[in-house]
Amino acid sequence: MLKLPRLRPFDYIAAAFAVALIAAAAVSAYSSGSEASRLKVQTAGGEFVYDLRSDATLDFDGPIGITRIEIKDGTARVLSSPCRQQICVNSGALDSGGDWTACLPNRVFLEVTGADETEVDALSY
Amino acid sequence: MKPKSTPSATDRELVALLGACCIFLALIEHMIPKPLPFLRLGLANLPILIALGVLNPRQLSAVVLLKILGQGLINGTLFSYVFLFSAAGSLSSAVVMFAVSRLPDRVVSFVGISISGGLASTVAQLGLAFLLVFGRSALYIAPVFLAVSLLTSIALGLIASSFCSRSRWYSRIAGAEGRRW
Repeated sequence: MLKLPRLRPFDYIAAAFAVALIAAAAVSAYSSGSEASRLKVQTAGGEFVYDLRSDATLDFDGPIGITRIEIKDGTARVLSSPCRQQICVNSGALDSGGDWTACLPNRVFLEVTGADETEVDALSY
Repeated sequence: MKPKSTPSATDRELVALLGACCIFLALIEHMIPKPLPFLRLGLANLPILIALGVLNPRQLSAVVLLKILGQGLINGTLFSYVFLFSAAGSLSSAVVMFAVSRLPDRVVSFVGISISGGLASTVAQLGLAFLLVFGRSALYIAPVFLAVSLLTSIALGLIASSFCSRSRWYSRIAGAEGRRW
């Protein structure tokens, strides 16, 4: 059996300090949030960056036609695409940092980036 | 609680024994599955905690070095960047625990020493992660690591305290000067 020691002042101080540190880390890590703030579009014609806070409808020329992208309420989505499979249109609105979609036939790649770096995923380890 | 300053044959045996315990516990730790590589129980810190009350700083450093090298060997991380993390964590925790353990017995127990050491190790590793690998993303994992570190170090402190208060072996090597629990 574990015989528990009598805890002494510094034990409590150390524990309190640890809890304070955890709280501070939690606040600074999660309060800023990872809301999407920018849209990066890569096309055959170059790379473009847009602010997600201002709504817009954008047309991009690609090898097989025009890909139309809409920015609305801080999210971005592909409105229409000349491609056959429409994967990019069906992937819906990109709303958080790290979300992406692409139309390979028309060489358009969309990625939304957060205010901070994108979040760590399990693969990063 | 001043450890004897003249090293004797038994002191050297003690360094070897505690170092071996570190390596053994690192092996046990290695067998326990963990959700993330850096989330560890820190079992190998038990001998360090126990060593604090009975070894002088030089001998203590020897045990810590044995622990770091042994852990690197067992985890297979000796020549990878992970070793940097492990070394930084172990060194900073040893330094902090040594400092805290100089406080009088009535002020602090193994639990407080262990918590301080766990915090130092976690903060050092997070700092490295921030600087070297993950940048600001390291902040996202910080609360989890710190919380886990707090819990495991409390547990380790309790185990060390329980062990030292009952072990005849410990009371013999610690003598009258050893910590009273």
